[in-house]
Amino acid sequence: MSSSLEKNMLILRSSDGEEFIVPEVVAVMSKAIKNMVEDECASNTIPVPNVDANILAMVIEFCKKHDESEAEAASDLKTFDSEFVNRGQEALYDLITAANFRDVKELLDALCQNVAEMIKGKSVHHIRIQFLGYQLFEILTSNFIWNIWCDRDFD
Amino acid sequence: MELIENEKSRPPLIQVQPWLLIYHGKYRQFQNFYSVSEDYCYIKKIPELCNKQICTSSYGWLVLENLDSDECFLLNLVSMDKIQLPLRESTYDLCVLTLPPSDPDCRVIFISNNNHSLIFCRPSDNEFNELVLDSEDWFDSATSFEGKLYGLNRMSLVVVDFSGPTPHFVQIMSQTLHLSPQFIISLKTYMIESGGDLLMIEKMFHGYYGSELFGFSIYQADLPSKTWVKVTNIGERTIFLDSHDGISFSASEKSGIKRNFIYFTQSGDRYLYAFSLEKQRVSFSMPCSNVSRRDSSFHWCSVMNSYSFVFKMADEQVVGSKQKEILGHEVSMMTSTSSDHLVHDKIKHGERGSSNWSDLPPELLSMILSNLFFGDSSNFRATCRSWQSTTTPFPPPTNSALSKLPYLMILNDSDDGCKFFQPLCNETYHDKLSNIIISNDQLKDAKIRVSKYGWLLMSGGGTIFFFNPFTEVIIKLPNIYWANDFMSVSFSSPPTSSDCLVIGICWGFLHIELCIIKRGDDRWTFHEFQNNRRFVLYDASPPVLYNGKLYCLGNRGDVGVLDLSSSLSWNIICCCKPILAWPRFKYQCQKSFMVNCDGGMLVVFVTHEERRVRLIKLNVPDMEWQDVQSLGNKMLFLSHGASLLIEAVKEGMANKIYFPNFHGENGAFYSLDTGKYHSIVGNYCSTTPFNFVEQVSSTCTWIEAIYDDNHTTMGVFQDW
Repeated sequence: MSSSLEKNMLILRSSDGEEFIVPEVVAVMSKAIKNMVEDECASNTIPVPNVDANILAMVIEFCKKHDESEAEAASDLKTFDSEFVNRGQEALYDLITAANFRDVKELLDALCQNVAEMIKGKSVHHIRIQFLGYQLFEILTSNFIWNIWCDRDFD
Repeated sequence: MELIENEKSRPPLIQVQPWLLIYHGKYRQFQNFYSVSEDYCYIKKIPELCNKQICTSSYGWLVLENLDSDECFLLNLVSMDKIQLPLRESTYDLCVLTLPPSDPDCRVIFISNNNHSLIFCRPSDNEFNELVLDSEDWFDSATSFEGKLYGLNRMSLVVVDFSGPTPHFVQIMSQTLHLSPQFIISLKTYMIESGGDLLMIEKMFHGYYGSELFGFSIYQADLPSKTWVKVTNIGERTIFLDSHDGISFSASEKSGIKRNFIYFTQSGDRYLYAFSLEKQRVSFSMPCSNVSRRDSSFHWCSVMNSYSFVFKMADEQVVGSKQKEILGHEVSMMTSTSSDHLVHDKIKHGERGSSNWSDLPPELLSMILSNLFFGDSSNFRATCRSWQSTTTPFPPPTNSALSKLPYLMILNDSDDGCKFFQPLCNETYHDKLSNIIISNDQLKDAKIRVSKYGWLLMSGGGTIFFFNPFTEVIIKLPNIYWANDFMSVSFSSPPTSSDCLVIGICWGFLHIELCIIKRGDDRWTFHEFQNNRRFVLYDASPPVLYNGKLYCLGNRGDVGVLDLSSSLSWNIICCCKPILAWPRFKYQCQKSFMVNCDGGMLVVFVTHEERRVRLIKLNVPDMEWQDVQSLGNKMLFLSHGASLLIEAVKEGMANKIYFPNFHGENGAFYSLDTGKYHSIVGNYCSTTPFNFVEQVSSTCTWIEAIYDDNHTTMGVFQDW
């Protein structure tokens, strides 16, 4: 079994074929990769399907920062997290599914928190516009019926 | 509720059984008839009922006695027939009418425990016959069943058969049920006939002068095998109890009377309580606000089914319910169109881009939801259909805001698991316990005593043990004969840590005994103290451990302090001025809670009438009381198993008190800012808690979600 202390390098290959060389300690922050490494079922190159190069780069950046700054003040890390997750809907969605698929707990926590922050204080309509890309016309037509439906279930 | 006063001298025609007859006035000259199904009160002044005492009511007949003379008679409230009974001299404790007066075997029976006599007569007799009872006999309750008298004689079932020339007195069941624990201050047993079964009902109260409901136990007499069988569900029937007697009916769907419920009244207040056997929750209402608390008495009366009347009310009710049905139909039509619309939206939506938020896996949605509270969480769920059924993760992820909040754990006999209610999200989680735990009889009979560090300390049936509902671990403590008699019990640290100390308090007027056991010990140690100042321990709220001292709340608003350091000592602080200054504290207070609050003890009192809340604080070093108006940025979770004072996780939660109360299925809280009770969802608020239901304290407690993430074994018995 390879130990995480050895600072071995691993190669991660994204879904569009780009390869990233990352220290093993960083890569194993993903539980899915960690399991593969521990089971020794992975050669030096680990394929990361479903995650494209753009997103994989972001995930690696996040993991690297968290690995380096273990000793650093927690507040620094927090500001990094909040800046890191402050992205557009599309990137957020890809990140969150990647983090879930690869099982990167810290990233997932930060992302979920961020999504929740985006939802906070917004009306149902705004959440729909922001996340589901509803057009105003659709909202106007569905609004009335939705309200009846929501009142019935939640009030 | 309206009151009408026409036809004052006749009882009202109410088609749904039973009536709650409320006597009031100085000479009992007024009678109010309250119908549960109509929630309607008819004020009457019936001459036949004036100045009378109701001895019993069955088969549509009342047995009445004149308060000024020895006269007693039978009265039918529908036909107003009156049958005179012979004169009777002695007082009585119980009265039973075995059959309707038209039956030749009918007997009217009066039992007097102090005179050791049982007198009986037929309605046509000229005098009562007497059966002298043994000096050991003491009837707690009695009822007629199959034309005979069944009574509880010192907890054993006896039957008196009057069909022969002389009454036949037989003891048929001597099985004594497990004794109720010492902390049950007030216990009343009822015998009733319910749908061909003979039931014994125990009504248990605890707290200040027995003012808080602890729960009901129902046992059915299995006459062939001569045993009592515990009943947790009475199906379609409903039981009605007043302070003397009880009756049972099968409730019809339409009547507005709830099935599997116990409706009861208490002497000394004007409320009608409704207790749900399924959910173990109690609600109360005021059937009649125009009666005084002191001069009124409440009785349930039955009307015989054989008297059939045509009521115009019946028609009206049918119309009303039909209208509702139509409305309901409309709403469901609306729903179906809206969901069609949604499907349509979804298809359209699928064409745009790859980021399809509505298709996120449920575990991700629930992680997002665990960061949203109040309105945000309902907005989140209302956003789209796949988000609607999302629930927050349970148990909560460590480090999330949710993990800092306690859950209201509900442990119910009728369920095969326990429920956890989360007030922040207004969600209930059903946690199925593993079979090993379920099949363990210990847990069934036991009651929650204290909850701390995510552990429950439970006792019942002579055993005492720790139970962790998250990991399902049971740690049994060495047997102690009087585990049931601990008025109060507490422990110092989680039972898995080596310095855990369990302290049980047995209370008496003259002595207070402490039973202490340390982790790993196989024997309890006992310490006795003189109770010089006649300290009366308040049993419902567990003592609070602070700085090596145990603070116990007393019944008069005083505090007993037990020093647990090397030399055990016990002293009582009686400087309870703020409470004494509160007028009629003794009669008003219904329950109280004590919780540690920055170096002091915060005590919360809840009044009986209207459940008003008052807070005072005992500053520990100088032992002085001080009034508290606000909790600041904190919130209180109060239950008798555990009271917790926690920093508000969200702004909206500060300065609020969370009782185990519900408004419908929604949680409820008391806000110190507004002085009102509010529902968490739905914007309902009220100064009186009439529309709220209380979870009975013996079945629930707040519990902190402290557990070991990596603990995977479920259903284990560990050693102490």
